[in-house]
Amino acid sequence: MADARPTTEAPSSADVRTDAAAAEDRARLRERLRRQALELEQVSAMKSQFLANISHELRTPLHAVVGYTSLLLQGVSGELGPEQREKLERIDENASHLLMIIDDLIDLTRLDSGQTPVDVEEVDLRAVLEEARAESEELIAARDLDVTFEVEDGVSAIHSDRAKIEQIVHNLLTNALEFTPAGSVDVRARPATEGEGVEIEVADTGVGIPEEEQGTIFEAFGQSERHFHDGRAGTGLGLSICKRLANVLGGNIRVESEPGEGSTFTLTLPQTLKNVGRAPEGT
Amino acid sequence: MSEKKPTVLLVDDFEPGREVVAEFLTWRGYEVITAEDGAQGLEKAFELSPDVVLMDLSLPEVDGWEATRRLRADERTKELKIIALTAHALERERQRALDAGCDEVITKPVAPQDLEEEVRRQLGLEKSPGD
Repeated sequence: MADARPTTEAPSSADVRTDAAAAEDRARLRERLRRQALELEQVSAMKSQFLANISHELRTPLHAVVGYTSLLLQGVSGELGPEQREKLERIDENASHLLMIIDDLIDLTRLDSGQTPVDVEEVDLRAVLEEARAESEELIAARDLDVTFEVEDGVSAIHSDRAKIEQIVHNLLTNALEFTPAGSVDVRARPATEGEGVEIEVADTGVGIPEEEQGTIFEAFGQSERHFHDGRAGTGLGLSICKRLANVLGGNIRVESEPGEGSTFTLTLPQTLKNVGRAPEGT
Repeated sequence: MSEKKPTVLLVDDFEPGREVVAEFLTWRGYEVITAEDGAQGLEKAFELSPDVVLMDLSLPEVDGWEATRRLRADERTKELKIIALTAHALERERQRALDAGCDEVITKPVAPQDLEEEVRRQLGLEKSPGD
């Protein structure tokens, strides 16, 4: 380091040459980094455009599939027998599933390219949990489970993106309800165990996740082997979207699970989201 | 019903998507006119004065954004109800359609009965003309 050199001595000519060469190296490196950053930006923009186009091209024929299926189910082409109706409903369900995958893929890609806009406001976690409960009302009613929602004392409003938190909680709650054949699902918000911020925990007594899968469960299609209680498949993208959303919010998400005993997902969020509009590194 | 049937102009270059919506709306009692591109859509809108337009956005000749702007700029069609019906799902595309003058934006895929509900809402109809 230049500062560490004794000032009483004049630098030798060898040192001067080295300094000049080092400065040139640094300039070259900076220029290369600048160019690479620009290229990456262009690649990212192209990738987004490509995904937007793919989404458009997939939705267009799906529109016809959904349309004609509904047309038949509505009786436009005459009365249906029960078996015909049942099979058309299966087409309809699968078309909906395909649409969910398309939507999730778009979400995931936007999150990966750091293009997800963040809208920070004061967020009351009681309202978030209430919204999660209301949104899952039908599913909760359909499952014979003890479902509780609790906000512990000492949890104050945070500054974050409410819609994104709701998306994460909704996703975790849906998973918990789907993968719990009997017992309970508990959603709890509490002050963070370390530092400022909050934790939202979704704990179930469900099927659990084998240890070897716990490491990959947040990767895209990392849980493709798991199926919902009625045999429907998830999109395999929900948890990877949750993980990335948590990162965008400056937080994180982790899982503890015991196969056959249940799983606990914990979302950690900072009290105040900083660096708005920019996804943190590594998301 | 003695009144004239509400008329829907459906502009879409994708034939199956156009036909399925046309068939459903006809079944529900609407008069349906179809156009395969933006230029044809504009021509029919000016000539036949529909009550509502279902406008695809990515269209050949004149695209749906431009067609909507031209309808809004013309005395004959500036009050016309225009619903964008598009396979573009991003928020910025939705905003572009609203900025162009669309009253509402519906993303494909959509079940025809949900689309009809929106048509009814835009026209202030309590029930389908066929009911």
